[in-house]
Amino acid sequence: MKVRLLKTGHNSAYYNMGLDQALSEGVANGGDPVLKFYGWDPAAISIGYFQKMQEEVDTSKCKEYGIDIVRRITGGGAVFHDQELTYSFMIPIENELVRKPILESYEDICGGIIEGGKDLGIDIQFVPLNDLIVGGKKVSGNAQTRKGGVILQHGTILLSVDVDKMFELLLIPNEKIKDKMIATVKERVTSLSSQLGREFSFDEAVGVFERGFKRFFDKVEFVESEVTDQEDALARKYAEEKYSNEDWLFKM
Amino acid sequence: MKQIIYKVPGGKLLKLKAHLDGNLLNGIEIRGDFFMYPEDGVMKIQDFLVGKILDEQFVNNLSEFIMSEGIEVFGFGAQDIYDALT
Repeated sequence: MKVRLLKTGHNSAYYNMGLDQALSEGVANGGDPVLKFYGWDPAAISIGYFQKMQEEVDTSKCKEYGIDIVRRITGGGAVFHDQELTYSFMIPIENELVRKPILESYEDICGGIIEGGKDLGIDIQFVPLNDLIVGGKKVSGNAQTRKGGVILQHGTILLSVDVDKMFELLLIPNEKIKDKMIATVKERVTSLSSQLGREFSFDEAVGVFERGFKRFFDKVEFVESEVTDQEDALARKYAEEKYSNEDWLFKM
Repeated sequence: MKQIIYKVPGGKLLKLKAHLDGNLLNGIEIRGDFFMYPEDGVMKIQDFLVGKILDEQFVNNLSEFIMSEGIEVFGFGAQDIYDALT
């Protein structure tokens, strides 16, 4: 079995999400499964499908800082995408590489990340439904949707984390407990740089987790590939017409 | 209209907007950082809940509806909706 391996570098939130959709549709139309590694430029806040932008994000602060805001097609919570490696994995639900039930499929796809952690001497563990932790602290959040018979799972792997900045950009239900929440999140979240005690770069992370996925799915031939012109055009169309559209961003 | 933020024990953060007339639910919006498969299940659940009474049948009826529609929810359950509303 073949999986296309794409490294699309840093792009806007709208293009990143548009490309996820374009590639998922390609898999739904019979294309090979896809593993994609990417980052965010500018930094961005994404919110879950079931969240409301006005309730979660200080949009004027984001504008002031030049931070994109986007709504995902996947559930889950708000994420500040800054110093991180993001992956997307798209595979037909019927493909035997990944177990069908939702919980198990999260765990199977996260297996590539856990395997990558071993290269770094970091013991990453899966915590249902969608978290990966190191020493009890969250290092990766993952989110999945299923459309057209295809699983799209995307997730972030924190390279370093700025909790104070994140809380400047997010709205908190109760301002009075904001300081306490920030302290709690700082205790509960970690990054690969802080685990390693050195700066861990995006490029290094791509190499480590590419090897992780290759080892975890060792029956699979990963074929390094490029985004086709057609996929790129479709991704740009979705970025413009859907993901950056106010109807999508502020609906719910 | 009542806005309710409810932390599901061991689960996600539910944000509800509910139109309540006593214990009669006239409408509800369910938001939060949960997962639901398929995603449009949330609209079905919201529609189902219109006109429901918050009584001892509520949790069972909602659970059965979610199951019968083949909706899978991660992060809250029927009991949490009830607890958040009462």
